[in-house]
Amino acid sequence: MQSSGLGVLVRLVIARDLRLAVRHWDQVMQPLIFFAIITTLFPLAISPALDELRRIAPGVVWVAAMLASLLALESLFRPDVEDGTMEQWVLSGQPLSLLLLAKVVTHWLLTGLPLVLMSPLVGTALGMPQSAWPVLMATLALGTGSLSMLGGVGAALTVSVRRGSVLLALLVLPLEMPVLIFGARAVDLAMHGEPVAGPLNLLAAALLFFVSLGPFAMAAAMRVSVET
Amino acid sequence: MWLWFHKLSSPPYAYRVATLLRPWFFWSAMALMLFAAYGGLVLAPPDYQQKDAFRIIYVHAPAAIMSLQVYVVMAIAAAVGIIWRIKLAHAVAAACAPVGAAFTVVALATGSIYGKPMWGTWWEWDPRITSELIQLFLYLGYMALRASFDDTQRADRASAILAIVGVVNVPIVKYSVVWWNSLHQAPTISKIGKPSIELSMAWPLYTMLLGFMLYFAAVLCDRVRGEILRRERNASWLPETVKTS
Amino acid sequence: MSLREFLAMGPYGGYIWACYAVTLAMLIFSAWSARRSLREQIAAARRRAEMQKEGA
Repeated sequence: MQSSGLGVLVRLVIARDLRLAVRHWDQVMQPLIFFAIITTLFPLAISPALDELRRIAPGVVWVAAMLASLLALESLFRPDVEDGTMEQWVLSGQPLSLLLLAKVVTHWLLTGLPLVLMSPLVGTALGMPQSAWPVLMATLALGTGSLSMLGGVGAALTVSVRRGSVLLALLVLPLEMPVLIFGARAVDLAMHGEPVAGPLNLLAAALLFFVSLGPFAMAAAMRVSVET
Repeated sequence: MWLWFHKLSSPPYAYRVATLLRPWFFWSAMALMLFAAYGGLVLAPPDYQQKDAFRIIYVHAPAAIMSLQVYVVMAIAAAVGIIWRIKLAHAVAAACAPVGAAFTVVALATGSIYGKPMWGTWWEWDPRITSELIQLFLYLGYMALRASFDDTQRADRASAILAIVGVVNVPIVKYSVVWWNSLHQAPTISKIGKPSIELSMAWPLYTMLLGFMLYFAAVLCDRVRGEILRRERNASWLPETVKTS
Repeated sequence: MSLREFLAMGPYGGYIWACYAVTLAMLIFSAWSARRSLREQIAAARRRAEMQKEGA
């Protein structure tokens, strides 16, 4: 009874968040548009020549994904904390870590997954060859998962801080740097036709690590933020 | 032993212990650091390949080691504070951050200066340098998070979570030179087996490291005392103690 | 070895002394900063004790 109960709980949370997201389509679109705009800045700032852009394309796509993911974190917990829902969850006696994990999963479906799907277009605009698309999407799929988890911990820590968005960035970006390094490097290797198993496995391992420990850190952080 | 530990978690007792120990830590640190500097600059022979530039390692390596060690102490103190709810442990964690950041800055600065004659560049994005830079960001982020909470208890618990999460970076820094081919040389001090450099050149490094550790203990004493005074401001034992401080 | 030669340290003198200077500066600053915040706390605690005595 317990395990099916928890499964129902998770599904309810995901369904609720998805329904709320559908009602606020515009808010869901914003980070994705931001992602596109950021990648546009680089050809404007550096050079429109695809040859030159191709060299920095993996990094640019990844940095843009990180920043877009960061922006989307604002709406992960704040609405629920502000209207008191989170307080109810904390007091409810249900496993908070699981509830928050469900929220992060939904957040990824609404932010990370679209980024993964958009990435080939964006990459091509920066001169990336089609051959790199699979690795690009794979690394971003794994990487954005880690970004959502780490971001979730940071968001839980800063949700009650006034104007805490910059603080959130300061806390989360350094922790995400290794993910960025491996993700961008993997795409770069793929573009040169070299084996990508190493970085890809590391990204997968990182994701597993963050998913297994992250929810507990998030729950602990959320309790600190919400309990008065 | 446990009784002493338990006594130590009482703020007035810890305050007194810190006050007594500080001069011992500080002056022995001074002596060791001076001796190590003399050893490193004068007594130690120049390196075969790096010549005199090698002498930089006598400050660079200990600073880098301390930048990690202080973080580990901070993370452990934070964990103790959160698990056993010992306020003093949180005070220790808070006290560690500024010193740790200072050591990290020294490590990065001396490393950068060291890099110019050795690698021909002021900066390189190799794994160890990059992860050490991340280490600095972690310290700064910790201090920023602490400062953003008005309530001490919430600040303690939130920053404790951050400290514990950030501890993953420490092995990355330490093992980055082992895991990846990088510009950095292999570890100078290896825990298993003989060190890769001769004792006549290694001893100033160990001495300086010991000096840094005692220095850290001394600064920690001062900062923990300050933290205790701030947190226990309404305690009854305060007025008497500070009169004679 | 003359003092000048010692200070020069081959071609590396500038770098070596810069490093030691940076380290020394940081050590001094760190210790001073800790001491200063302690002194502020002690002064504040003394002031509070004075005010309490006057109040009582």
